[in-house]
Amino acid sequence: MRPRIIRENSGLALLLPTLLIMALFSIFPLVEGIRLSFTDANLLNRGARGVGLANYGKLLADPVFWSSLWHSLVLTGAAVTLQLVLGMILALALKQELPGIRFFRSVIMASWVIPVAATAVMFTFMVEPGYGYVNIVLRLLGIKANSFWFGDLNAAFPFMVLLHLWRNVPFYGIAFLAAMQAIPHSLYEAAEIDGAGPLHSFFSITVPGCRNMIIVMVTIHVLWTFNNFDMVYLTTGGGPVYATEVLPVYLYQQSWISYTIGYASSIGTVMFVLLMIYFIIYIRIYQRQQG
Amino acid sequence: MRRIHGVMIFLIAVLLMGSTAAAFAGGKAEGGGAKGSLSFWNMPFVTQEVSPDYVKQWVANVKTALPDYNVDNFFGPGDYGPQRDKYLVQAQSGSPDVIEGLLEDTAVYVQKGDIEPLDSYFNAWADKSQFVPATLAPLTINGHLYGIPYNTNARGLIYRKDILDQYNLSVPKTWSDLIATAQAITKATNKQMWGLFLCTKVGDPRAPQEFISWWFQVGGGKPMFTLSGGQKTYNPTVDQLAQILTLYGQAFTGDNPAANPDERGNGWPSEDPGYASGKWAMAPEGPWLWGRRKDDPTAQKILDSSIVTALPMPDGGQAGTYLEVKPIMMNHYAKDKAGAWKLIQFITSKENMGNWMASSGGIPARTDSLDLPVFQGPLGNWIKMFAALLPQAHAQEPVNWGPVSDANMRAVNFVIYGQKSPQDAAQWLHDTVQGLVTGGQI
Repeated sequence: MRPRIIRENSGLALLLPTLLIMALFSIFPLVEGIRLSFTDANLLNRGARGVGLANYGKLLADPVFWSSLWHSLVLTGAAVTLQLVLGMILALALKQELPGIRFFRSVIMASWVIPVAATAVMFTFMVEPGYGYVNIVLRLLGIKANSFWFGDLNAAFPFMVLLHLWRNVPFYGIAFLAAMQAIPHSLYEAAEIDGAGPLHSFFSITVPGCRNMIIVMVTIHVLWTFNNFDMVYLTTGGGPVYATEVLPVYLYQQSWISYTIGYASSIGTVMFVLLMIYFIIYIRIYQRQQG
Repeated sequence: MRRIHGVMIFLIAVLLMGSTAAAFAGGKAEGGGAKGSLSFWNMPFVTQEVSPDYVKQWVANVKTALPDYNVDNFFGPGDYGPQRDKYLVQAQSGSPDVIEGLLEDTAVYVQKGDIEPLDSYFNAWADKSQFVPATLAPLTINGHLYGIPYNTNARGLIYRKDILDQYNLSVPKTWSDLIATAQAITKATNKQMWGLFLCTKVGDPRAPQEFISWWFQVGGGKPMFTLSGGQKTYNPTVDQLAQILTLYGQAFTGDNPAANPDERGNGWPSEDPGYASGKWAMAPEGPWLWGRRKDDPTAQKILDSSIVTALPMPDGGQAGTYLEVKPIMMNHYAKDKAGAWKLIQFITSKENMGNWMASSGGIPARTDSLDLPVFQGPLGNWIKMFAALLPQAHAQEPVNWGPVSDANMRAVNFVIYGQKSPQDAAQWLHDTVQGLVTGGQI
């Protein structure tokens, strides 16, 4: 018979290694990042002194920060909403038993599997004037276009949204398909007998049936898109002018071009707080609905 | 339950024995004391800026030249940005022992104390006199030499002689000539070929180098920053900056623009292949373009009919251009500095430097490397055209150029996208960089 103290705390003991690793790799960097945001830490200078809220004061007066924040919010909102809608449409299409659909289902995830760096390089070539695939297709369609689209002040940002869609919509499609396949077919049959049309069935059976998957997908993609750095950095670097500057890229520039770690940390802290607010609201709504 | 405990104890025992055995094995290899180890981060070896055949040969040669060392054949992240970032974070670990980089990197590493002054090593080296003094000067910071130069070049204007001859155009000598000549080519070819290309992408490494070339002309060869007693002074006036920004504005405007407006916001990945495929007739370029001859017969034909000359000057300006110097540096925290120096000597020896530059189309920083047979013939002539520009070339000062280059290109973007007038963009740029100076960020 083991002593009571061991018996009662064995669960905690088993969790301890995981908690320690999380503390080391998640909580410590987080706390350290917040601490640095109150200092004038610079990678090129040894030591850092506390500056109180000076970095946050600077943020408030920094127009690039505000435009980056706006771009991050718009990019996240537009990309996640469109991914959700297009992903649902794709899942409905994949659900159909059409010739070659099995093959299509197998290859559709390719865009999600390709590394982001490769995707960025590929798209950079695709939007080149002259030999770029996008321009060639547009010309074939009779549209007189030959721009470097990532260098176009009006088109660069929509192209960034497009890049997210190209990569993520198949993932949404496959995830929603999995959720749809778990919905009992008898529900659709019953709805049909009761006279419900396809649209009614979709909103009354399919969407509620996919609800948990929608919550998961939206939650992780809000996080991923808001924090996404590589797509923007590798394609436009935040330009032209500041047209595609988003918070992660601005943070990177402050950290690794200006080396102003303290100021960069304050941007990171703001991002963290915004995402926490989003999650708290989201989880509250979810729990209320569950309740 | 007892069985599970037994299995777990067994697994832990196996892991412990394994790690102990590995430690002993490691100790034996080290105790055997056969060889030391050295690491060298070097972007061109990773990106194939230098041919893979040269790298293969280099790896074989270093084994013979440094028999007491194992030189790691991992040459770093393969991109100057990540290479610099990683080095800044990990230099204190002692790895890599030797690092190649940009001149701009040297200033940053010196500021952080991450690289070793090489004066004593270099002064005792018999080959010292072979190095071009102009390439050593920018690597001498606060009176100490912080890198051995291996690659140098001056930015020049490359142009299609066949095209200029075809349309009876003269080689442009001034900025207004440049714009007029380029516009004439755009018009004569009905926009099938554009007269000029300029890099304007934010974050592009070459775009700020072109910008600084124009500055050296407008500023009469004066550095952008004067460093004195720990103080940094920003030299350009708003009017001088406006003059440069006007050039960019003019290049992309008009009925027959000098440069393709659809290429605004593009950088070197378009500049080089675009020139080699005949998309534009003139561009500020360096000797690396030679490597494009291998692309296809068209590129070879175009480059064979190309001439390199000095960059056109503004009216009342002075000849000047950007001098690129790439150094090989030693980690201040290298555990075996004598070994690291031997590796630097190997890298910058007459043959190795010469063959490297011949492979990548650069100008060696050693005069005797140019005597190698590989520099005779067409490549030699090509190199000589750029080498002729070295006397008017200026190196950048040892400051943190990152935020300055970023601001320069944002200002260019403001103008070419019509967001601000050259004067307003110049004022913005001046205020921004002055703010960086005041804030101690450079």
